[in-house]
Amino acid sequence: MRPYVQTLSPEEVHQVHMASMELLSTVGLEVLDEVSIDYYEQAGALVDREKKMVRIPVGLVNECLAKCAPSVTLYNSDGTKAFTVGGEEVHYGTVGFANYAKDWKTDVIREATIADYEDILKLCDVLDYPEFVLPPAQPVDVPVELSDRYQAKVGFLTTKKPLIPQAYGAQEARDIIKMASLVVGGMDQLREKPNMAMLVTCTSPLVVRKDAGETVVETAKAGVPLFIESGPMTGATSPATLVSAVALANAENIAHIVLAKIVNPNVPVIYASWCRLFDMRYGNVSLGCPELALMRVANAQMGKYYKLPCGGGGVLTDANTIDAQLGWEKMLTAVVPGIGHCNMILGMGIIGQENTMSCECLMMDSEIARISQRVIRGIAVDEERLAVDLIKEVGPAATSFVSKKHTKKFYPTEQLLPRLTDRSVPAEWVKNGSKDCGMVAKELVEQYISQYQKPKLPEGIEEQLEAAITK
Amino acid sequence: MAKVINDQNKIRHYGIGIDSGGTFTDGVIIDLSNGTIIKTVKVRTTHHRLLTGIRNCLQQLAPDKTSIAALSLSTTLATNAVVEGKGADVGVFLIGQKAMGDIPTEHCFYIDGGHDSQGEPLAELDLATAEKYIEEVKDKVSAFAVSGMMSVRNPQHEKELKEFIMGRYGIPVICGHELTSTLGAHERAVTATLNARLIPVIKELIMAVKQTMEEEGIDAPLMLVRGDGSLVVAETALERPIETMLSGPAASIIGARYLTNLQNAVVADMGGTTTDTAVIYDGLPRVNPNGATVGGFLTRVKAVDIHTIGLGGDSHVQFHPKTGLKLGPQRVTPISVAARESETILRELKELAQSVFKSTRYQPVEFLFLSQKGQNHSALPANLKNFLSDGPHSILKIGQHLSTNPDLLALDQWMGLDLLSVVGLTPTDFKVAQGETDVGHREAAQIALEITCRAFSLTETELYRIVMEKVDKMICATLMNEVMGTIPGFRESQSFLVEQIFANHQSKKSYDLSVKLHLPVIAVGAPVQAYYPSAMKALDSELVIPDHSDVANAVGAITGQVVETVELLIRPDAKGYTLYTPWEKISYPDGDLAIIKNDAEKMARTYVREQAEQNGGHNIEVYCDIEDVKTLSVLAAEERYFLECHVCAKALGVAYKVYLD
Amino acid sequence: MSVFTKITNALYEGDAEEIAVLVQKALDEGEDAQTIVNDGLVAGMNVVGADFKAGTLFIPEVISAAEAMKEGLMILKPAMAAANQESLDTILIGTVEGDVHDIGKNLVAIMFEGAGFTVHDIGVDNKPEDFVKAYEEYKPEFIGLSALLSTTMPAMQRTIEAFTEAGYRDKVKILVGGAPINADFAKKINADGYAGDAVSAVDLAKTM
Repeated sequence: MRPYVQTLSPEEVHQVHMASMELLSTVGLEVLDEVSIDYYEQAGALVDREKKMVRIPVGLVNECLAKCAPSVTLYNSDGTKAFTVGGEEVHYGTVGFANYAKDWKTDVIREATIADYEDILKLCDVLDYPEFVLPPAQPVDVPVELSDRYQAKVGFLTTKKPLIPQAYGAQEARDIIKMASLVVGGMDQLREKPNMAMLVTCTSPLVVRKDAGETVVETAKAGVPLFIESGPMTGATSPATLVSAVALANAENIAHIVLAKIVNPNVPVIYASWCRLFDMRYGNVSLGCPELALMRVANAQMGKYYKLPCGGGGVLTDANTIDAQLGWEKMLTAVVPGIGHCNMILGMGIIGQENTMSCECLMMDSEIARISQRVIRGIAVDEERLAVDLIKEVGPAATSFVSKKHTKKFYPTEQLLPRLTDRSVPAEWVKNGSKDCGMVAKELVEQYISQYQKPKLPEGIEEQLEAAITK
Repeated sequence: MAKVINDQNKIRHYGIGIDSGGTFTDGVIIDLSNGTIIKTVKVRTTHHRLLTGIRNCLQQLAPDKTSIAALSLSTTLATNAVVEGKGADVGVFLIGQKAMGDIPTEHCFYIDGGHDSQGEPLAELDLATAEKYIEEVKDKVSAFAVSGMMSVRNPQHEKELKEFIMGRYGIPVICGHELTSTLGAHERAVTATLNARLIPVIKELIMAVKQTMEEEGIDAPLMLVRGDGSLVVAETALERPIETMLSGPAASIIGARYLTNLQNAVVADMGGTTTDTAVIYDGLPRVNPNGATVGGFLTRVKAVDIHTIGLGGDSHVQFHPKTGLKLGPQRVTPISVAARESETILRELKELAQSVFKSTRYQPVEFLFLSQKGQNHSALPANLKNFLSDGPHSILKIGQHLSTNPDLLALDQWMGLDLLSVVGLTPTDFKVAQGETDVGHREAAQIALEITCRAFSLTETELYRIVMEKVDKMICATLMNEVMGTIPGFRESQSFLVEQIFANHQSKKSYDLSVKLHLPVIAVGAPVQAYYPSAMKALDSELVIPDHSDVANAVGAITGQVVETVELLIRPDAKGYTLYTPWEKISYPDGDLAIIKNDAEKMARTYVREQAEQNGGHNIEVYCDIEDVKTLSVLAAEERYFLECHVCAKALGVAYKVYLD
Repeated sequence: MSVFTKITNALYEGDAEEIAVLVQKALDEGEDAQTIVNDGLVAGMNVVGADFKAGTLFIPEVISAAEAMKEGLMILKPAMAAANQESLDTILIGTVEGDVHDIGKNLVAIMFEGAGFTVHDIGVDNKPEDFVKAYEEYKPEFIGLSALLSTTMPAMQRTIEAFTEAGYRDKVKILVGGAPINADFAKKINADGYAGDAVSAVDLAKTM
């Protein structure tokens, strides 16, 4: 069997569910978009226009959740299947929106430019992990108002992997969806084989922002998958207890999902979370903490309770440089949610919470993702693998199994063959230059980026995408 | 150098500079080709009709009429008008801004409109309400001033209102953004209002001067001096008279520079009452970045950054029992000078020498007389007024005549009201007593000093030394302050430093403290020869007293340059960049910074060149400075976060046509 | 143990109820209000501030200490007014235009309240004109500008310019803070000072 971890018992899941329902039906959310309020009202929610409060009765919640599919399939821009989100599958990807970049050639940290963004996208495209890309950088050499759309444009041009772009409001959502459709060859194609899921973040506690409402409505109308993500900070935007953050995020996610389903009952949705800590000593958010890992497992449980494909932040660190802290935090927050079967885990390629993008880090994260996947795969058991006959054959005190056919057959799948991880004996390590994994990562970045090839895209696509940006 | 040619191809190379100052109107004729001073004239200024003094001056100069390339005038007209609250009745419109203090007119109106810090409108411009107000006052005012909130980021509303008023009513309008590009809505409103008020005042003078020039047959451009020392053609001064405020002191500074040909220096202009100091860098005087304050109004007029201290040749020397020796800031008539005009003084001095005059309020030697400023003396007690009607008398004599202890007479209040003037001890008297100058009666000076010595039990040598040292110290402090004043901690240690410097070279001291100024000091003004050499001995710095320093002001009036500057601002915004110019706001969505800087430089250069030409400049050279302002981003220690870019252009030209061989 | 020591300890513990009781008791026993503030409350707050900087006390503890301080000051207010003792300064705080982050700002507000300032918090996403209007209403001695996004730094610059334009710049001390802000930036935009965290902000304001 594959290892599977849970942190909430079924009763506890139910308690969280009941708490969320209570919040939704008796407190409600502040909805700052008039059009969204209209939709809620039409569908039967209890609306106080003056205070902009929307309370969602349990019946409406159930109705909408029943219309959700348990999985969503995402495609590459060339129409080939990327992966399915749902069930026990786990996929790792990047997260954004860093303002700074650590230059992998010079180690200098500076403001992230389009060139840095393109570099990391190329690496994303070439590597096996990440499997999807949420724009890792927010380049400073682009006007702020157009930033999300340029991130999407450059993303579509540079990598064929599914994109998780962010839109700030209706116009941006329209522009980005238009771009995606131009890339794959039309809206029908986009709906059938989506190469993107639109990121919508929720504001805690209990707010549907105007831009969030608009984006949900536009994207749902278009029938493009929604990646809905709520992430309270415990002790700041949610109470300090981990379970209350999970319950709050649950309520907020459901509220946005309900809106999407009201607009379009068929729109695919992914239930995601970014629950994190507010560190009481630094007065800052913390992402690399064990609590994040625990909450992500709980978030996944809640998602699965509603039979929704789920996702959320992981593979994250608070370290501001490439060091051991990065190692332990990224590993912790990668593997634990992984064995909690959180379907889409995003966080690769970024350090210092979400401040600094780094190609070397992405290299290491891809190794971490690979290692996590190995853990998730667990131990396979069958007659052949138990290998009783083989052991009998070899007998006691024999030399080794290395030369056996059985070994040759099974080791590739039983053992992960790491790329970055050093396992050499000390003397060998010294002979090879006494390198630490940071140095190795840099070399590999160099190597992989040089293998990059532009994805095959329609003629004139760059001008078309540029034209799609409403200025 | 250059030959100056007029349209008829005849060589003109003389310039006339006239400075109409507080007391005197000075005039010079200069050969602009080699800087030779051909002639100088000094006449009394006629305070209430400046033209008289100017005409007298011009007539006495009697120039060769066909050889004049330009005539330039610096005048206290604008300064006086502002201080005295004179000028036309004008209306002021405040668009979207409040009046934050006094605005020098009663017709002040508020209307909605104005812009925010990015130049976006705060509200629609309320022309309807404006119209209402204009109808109310259109027959009472001769001009309007218009000032809008953040018009320096977008002058659109000011321009619209100006067009409306001028188009509909034909009444002249001046806008805040036309006069300055600095922040401070209230200051801009005040500046525009004062400007509007001054227009007919300056017009009267300019027309009169032009007429005089015609009568004298001088066919040359008339220039006026601005408060920053630059020159503009009369037509420009007619539109922007406020800029001629403080032109007098500025002309002195410019003249000092010209006479010494130094590009960098400290200038000290010593008069009878005050000493003005300023600094010259790269040939131009440093301008006060906050704008000039006159008559209690803080304006945004660019004026030379002049520091004034109340130390002059005629500063009152006073000894106070508690505070010791004080020099100025009041100016009095020197005893020895007054003695020349009135025999009573000498007579009463001799009487004073024989008697014992003890007073807690007045100096041992002090005379009073009725002020001659055309005012009414009826406020004075009749017996006092009658006694003084025949001339000055000593305080002792006044007390005797009125049979009262003079300390009980409260004469100060009459002095404060400017009804009584003082004749007292001044540094001039010391110089006269020594025979170093003969502006006054030597014997009177000597007697006055004797009396003072006796009253304070000092020998003459001691008295002389104490007073002169005080003069020296005050001069040194002023010069050091001008150069070092902005260094943190200097102000607090100023008096300590001065004391130490003057205590140098004393025996039994184990150290000497000295200061070296790297800038030479140019001293101008009538009394400088008498005081500055001694003062400068303490400061290890070069002193230059140019010839003709007493007409430095008139020289500066004609030798100033035509200077026009402009500053454009480029800032990033959500869509790209915005370029803020004084005349409009230009958006560059998704723009390329390098291209925008290029555009801005072109605009700036063109603008200053055009302005300089319009203002009477010739042989114009344009300079442009582009400066990025960046700040450290927190993470990226190397990379710097771009805040804004300043594109500053400057056009320099001369005020007369120059033909280069 | 003197009553002042008790007050200091209760403040450190963040026990607002106990502070109320002790302060009242001290007043009843004839202690001078200003002395209670200085030797009891402020003394306690100083230790809290020092321990926070040293990393042994964390934000929730600092907040409850500040709230206990506020309790104490409220009780002492009438006594201090009666004795005409130093009235405390006012600070206006807000996050600048385009920025909706408020956690840092809220902490600063609490710390200033704890220090005895009157605090007017005008929330987030404030245009320069909003700050000017608020200044006209409250006439504070200090203004605190907060921003978490580096993209909103220009808004800070423009806010200070709006004060110069309106004629108020010389009448008020403007402090800036937030993650992307540093001392160099503060100087370039003509702010009066910069503070890196809530505790330093209060210390800085007190020196001005």
